[in-house]
Amino acid sequence: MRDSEITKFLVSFSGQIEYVSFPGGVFDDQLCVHYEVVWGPDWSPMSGLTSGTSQMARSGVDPERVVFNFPLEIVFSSTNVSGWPQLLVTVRAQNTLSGDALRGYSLLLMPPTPGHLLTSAPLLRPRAATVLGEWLAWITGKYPELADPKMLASGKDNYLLRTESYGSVSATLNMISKDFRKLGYDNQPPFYNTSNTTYNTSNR
Amino acid sequence: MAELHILGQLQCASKFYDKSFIFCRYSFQAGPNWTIVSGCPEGQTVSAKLDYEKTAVWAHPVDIHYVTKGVQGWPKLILQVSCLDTIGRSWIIGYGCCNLPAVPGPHTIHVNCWVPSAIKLTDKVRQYFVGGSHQLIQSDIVNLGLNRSKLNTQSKGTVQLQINLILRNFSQFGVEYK
Repeated sequence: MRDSEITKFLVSFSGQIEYVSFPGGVFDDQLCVHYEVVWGPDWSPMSGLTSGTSQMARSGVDPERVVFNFPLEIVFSSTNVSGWPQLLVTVRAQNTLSGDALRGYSLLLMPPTPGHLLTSAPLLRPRAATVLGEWLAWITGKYPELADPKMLASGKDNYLLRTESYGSVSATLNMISKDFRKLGYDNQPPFYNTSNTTYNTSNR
Repeated sequence: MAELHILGQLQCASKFYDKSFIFCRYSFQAGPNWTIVSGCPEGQTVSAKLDYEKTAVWAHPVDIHYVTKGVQGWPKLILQVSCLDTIGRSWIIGYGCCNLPAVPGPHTIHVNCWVPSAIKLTDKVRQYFVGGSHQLIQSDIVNLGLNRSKLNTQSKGTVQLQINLILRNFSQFGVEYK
């Protein structure tokens, strides 16, 4: 195919949801992760699973984190960068007494630059609108949930939703693109932009 | 025409020691050469409760597509941080502005915020006990350097952004950005 005939680019994301960490320790019996990929109108998934649910996991020697090591592998094709895929992770807890409860939502942008990336994103969960609701949430251990968590990925119409944040999700993601630069896009950071590496060396 | 994609998140606000909930209104502003193809250039985040580290996490997604005829007026982000107290009142606790970088790739940007300070003692006492703040009538003073000499401000916390830039066809028009 000649360069002038190219209209689409392909982007492949692979990686895994490594672990969920709560800085005060995990007080739930078991945790489980559900992921969904949210994308814009010009994008279409070519292969791979766009949503999935992990195993039920519990913490080990380190009481602050629960390892999932849950693999992701998705290929997208698109004609437009706008609407770049985002990963929406929902963390749920399963307890013997209180049953199934939400622990938080987390939103990650799929990496737009090629290479290997370890990211962590904070978990946030909605708060009850009233004092009674807050009290009930505390008593029952069940927090309010969003009817459509994908609204977090659109960033619109949140009408001052009150949230709180606790814990984070860590994921390793790789990105490979095809025909991206042939279409004139430039997503490559320049080699002199070593602000991250200098920061690391100064820390050592 | 050259294109610019801004992808990323308004991540969090830290070191705002105000009320318990913090939210932010933001708007992207660019020069007359720039037009928006898709995405919402202004919006409002959720109101997040300060966590144990006094950080309010928003994780608000941003996805904007600009088309431009020239590099004058490269997009800027203007932030207006407000707090929401337990009885539903809100007031402004920070203004901030940052120029977006012109280099493709991931960037972490820290925007340091300020707010007009109370000068009179009565205002200070009222702000301490009742809440509320002074706010700007003309908010374009935030992104312009004009007429700031008579303004008394107070330092506030920092807003952290994670922005990924993707440029298209800039080098075709001879723009050298890296």
